[in-house]
Amino acid sequence: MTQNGHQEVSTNLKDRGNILSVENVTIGFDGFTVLDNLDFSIGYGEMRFLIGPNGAGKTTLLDVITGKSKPDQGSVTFNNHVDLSRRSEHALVKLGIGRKFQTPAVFNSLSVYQNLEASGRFRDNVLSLFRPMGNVLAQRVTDTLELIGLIGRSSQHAGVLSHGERQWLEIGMLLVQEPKLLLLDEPVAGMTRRERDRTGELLQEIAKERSVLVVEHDMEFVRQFARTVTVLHQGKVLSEGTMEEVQQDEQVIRAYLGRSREATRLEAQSGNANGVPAASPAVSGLISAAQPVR
Amino acid sequence: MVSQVAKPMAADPREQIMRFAPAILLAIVLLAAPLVLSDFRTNLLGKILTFGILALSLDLIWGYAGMLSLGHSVFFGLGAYSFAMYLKLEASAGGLPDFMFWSGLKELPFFWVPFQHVWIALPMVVIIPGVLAGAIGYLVFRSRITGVYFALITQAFALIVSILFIGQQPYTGGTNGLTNLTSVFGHSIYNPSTQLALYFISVGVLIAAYLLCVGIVSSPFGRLLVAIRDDENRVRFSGYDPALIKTAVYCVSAALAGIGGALFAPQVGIVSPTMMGIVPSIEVAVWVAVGGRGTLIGAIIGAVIVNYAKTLLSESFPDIWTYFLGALFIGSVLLFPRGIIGLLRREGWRWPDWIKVARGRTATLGSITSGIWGGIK
Amino acid sequence: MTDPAAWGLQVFNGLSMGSIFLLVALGLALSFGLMNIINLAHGEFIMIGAYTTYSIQQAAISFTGGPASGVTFLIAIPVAFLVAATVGFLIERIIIRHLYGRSLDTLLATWGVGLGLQQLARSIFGAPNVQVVSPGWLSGTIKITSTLVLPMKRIFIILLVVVCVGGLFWYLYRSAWGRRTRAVMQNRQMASSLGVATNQVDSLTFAMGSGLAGVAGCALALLGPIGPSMGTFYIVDAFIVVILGGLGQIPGTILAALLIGMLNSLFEFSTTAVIGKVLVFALVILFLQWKPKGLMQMRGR
Repeated sequence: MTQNGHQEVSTNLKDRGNILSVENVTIGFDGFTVLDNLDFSIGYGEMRFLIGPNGAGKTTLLDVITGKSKPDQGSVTFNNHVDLSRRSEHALVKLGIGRKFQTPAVFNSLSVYQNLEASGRFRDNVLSLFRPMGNVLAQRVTDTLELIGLIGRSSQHAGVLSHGERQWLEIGMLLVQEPKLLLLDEPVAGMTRRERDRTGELLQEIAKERSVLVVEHDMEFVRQFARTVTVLHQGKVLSEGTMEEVQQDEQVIRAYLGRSREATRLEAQSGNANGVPAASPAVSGLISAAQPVR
Repeated sequence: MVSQVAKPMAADPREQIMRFAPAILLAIVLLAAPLVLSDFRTNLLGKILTFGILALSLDLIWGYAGMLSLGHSVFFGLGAYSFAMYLKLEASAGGLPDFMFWSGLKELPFFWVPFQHVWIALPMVVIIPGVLAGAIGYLVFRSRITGVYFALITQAFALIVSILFIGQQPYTGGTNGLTNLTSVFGHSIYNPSTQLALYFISVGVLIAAYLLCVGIVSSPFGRLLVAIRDDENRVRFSGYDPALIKTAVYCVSAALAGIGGALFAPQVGIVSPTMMGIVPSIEVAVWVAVGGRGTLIGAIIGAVIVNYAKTLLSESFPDIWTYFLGALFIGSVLLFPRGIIGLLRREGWRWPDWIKVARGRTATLGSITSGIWGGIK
Repeated sequence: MTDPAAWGLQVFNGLSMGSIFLLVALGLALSFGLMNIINLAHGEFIMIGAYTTYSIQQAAISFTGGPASGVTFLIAIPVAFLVAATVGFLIERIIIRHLYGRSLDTLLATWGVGLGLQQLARSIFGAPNVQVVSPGWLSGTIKITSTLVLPMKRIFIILLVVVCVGGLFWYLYRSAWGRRTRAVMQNRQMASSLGVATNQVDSLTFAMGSGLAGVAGCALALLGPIGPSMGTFYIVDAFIVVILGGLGQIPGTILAALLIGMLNSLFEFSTTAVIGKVLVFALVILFLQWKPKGLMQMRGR
């Protein structure tokens, strides 16, 4: 992908307001409120990480943005003026919103190359789908194959790819569509350390040209690659800022641990952090992150 | 650079020939068949070939897009009725068709009137099934009814249409259907030369239909069908409206089935609601399954083999035929899910688990084959 | 048409028809909720139940030498349940089990089973229909008003269905196996790793659903002739019920069954049987435009 100039463009973009604004969104299932009057926004060219304990509403937020779930109230605005409510999923993709699911969703019976082709032709109508694809798209498919590191496997069926490769392929399928906003739900779940690092680099590369929202549980990954982090808790934004700011936030620590910061620090210092009974990897990741820098 | 990667699909010519070898072989056999078969058998084969077109149309949506329609005979039947209405009026020589007379109708119902003209009746063969499929399909696919639910709805649809035709005796001929179709464009349908001509037309249409389907499935559109089968949600989140794509292919498939039906009518001389019900519809699925779904050519081979077996067995041993058909349904999914074509390509003879247990020695073989099968799936 | 009593009778007939649909559809909904499969041979369990009733009555007649007593029918109900359940159990063990996760293939395989069962019935009992003699205590009527007279048979059928559904609920919500069944329905993997024998749950639930269809066969034996392909007359309505009710939802299935029974009966009364069926089908398709997941859709995250 041609990179020259994009860095510059994206910095200019940042001044133009928000690519995505979620305002006062409330949604509940069977009387249980999942998102509670949520306000949330992402700027142009920004890469944002969304973290939070299980059940905080992260995936539901993605569902609301991509039209999979309709909010009970509130609005979602794209590109400053496009109202996203009442639009179907595929119409949202055409606007430039791409979404990767938690478990990789690729077309197993198609080759890697065909997966990207099928994805890239989303603006074609039914009749033009009978023509071979144009050179511009073919070039973009090849570039994307290179970027996601699957160029050597382009003729293999996606069904034979490893878990990590499938994640990359799905990201690639979104990239060929040149989305303005990319939503990634746990892109490194189930990856080996090397795959994870590779994915992080890929994300940084991708974020040069577009806005990206990453939902992630893997705190080490977040620490390594996040610029701005939003912490979601019980359907509300609990804290927002750089990773360090968030880690220092009193409320975040309480939300994750349900106790005061002093107690946390004590426990963390005594090296007992991972011994907290109910601690999920995410929690312990945050605790160890909350330790004073040594 | 682009060309190197962009054409991973263009296989070498030898492989292409191998891919189409069964189709070419079949075409030659079908064209030469009248030389060795009696007039009666040729006519029978001609009828079976129209079933081949029906099977092809089902394979297009089931084998590729994963939509199992259990009401596809309805479209075949509608095509058959459309053309048979014209033939019936031709046979009635300007008068009122006999069954209408018996039912006490005084004049031709308004919707029968256009079918006096062949240039209306023939387009209707594809328009009626196509439009009906489009309407039902769009409503069903729009509400995201897939898989088993789609199959059940189409089955109910088959029941509804067949009882509707049975119930409207004065307009459709009721249970008997449209009988005594005697001539087509002035040629007696009992005349061997007419039958031979119809046979060759059937072969030609079958080949054309096959090429059309091959064209569809090997186009980017066809790959999108497979994508829908694999993960419809991903297709939706890739910016396509799956309902639209599915409706489009469902329409094409229904129209093809209609053409098959239209060729059926003059070769058999009778169309009746029994060919549109639940039972004939689901039998189409077994033809496709026996031949090998998702292969197109397999659908034709399956239709020919199963129907030929049916005429051989059911004439003399109707009981045995029913058991055999039942066993075919079970066996084609349990033992050889890839069908005849799959066996030819040595892909998947799948031992069910209880055979694996019963025969410990074959366990390894079984797990290897099912492993391969799993990979293919 | 204008007579309110005639309409009342139609509503009542619809209720009794709906309750039979319910008995048939419950088995379908259970196995769909549990294993994601639809058994196309389910109609044949109706047939098995009906022929069981017939056989027991014939045996009683030849044993006593006199006319069938009213008690044989009561005996026939649990026997029909057991026979149909046993056949269902075997089918699940021999065929359906091996098609796990292949729902469309299961449709075809079970259709094949249905063909075989029909032909078997034809070989044993002959192709012509047979008839069960209704017990005397069911042949009467109950007068509600001067014009509205309800046949005992249909009242009995409704009560029978109420008892069966009650029993099913007791099983699902009060017994240990029922708890396991619900656990597997909600999360098969989790239930399995917690030590629930999922394949036993599958077989048992499938057998239970088949048994209920057998009881439905018993009930239908009171209303009409028994033939090898009698199941196919009712099974499509049961499918419509399952679709309308929502994916494997039991409360939805109950509601849908009564609704379809009622609509069928009312449309049939005001138009013809054929047009009635067409209208019901069209209504269901249109309803699904509004609520694609049926009457009782589970909203999940």
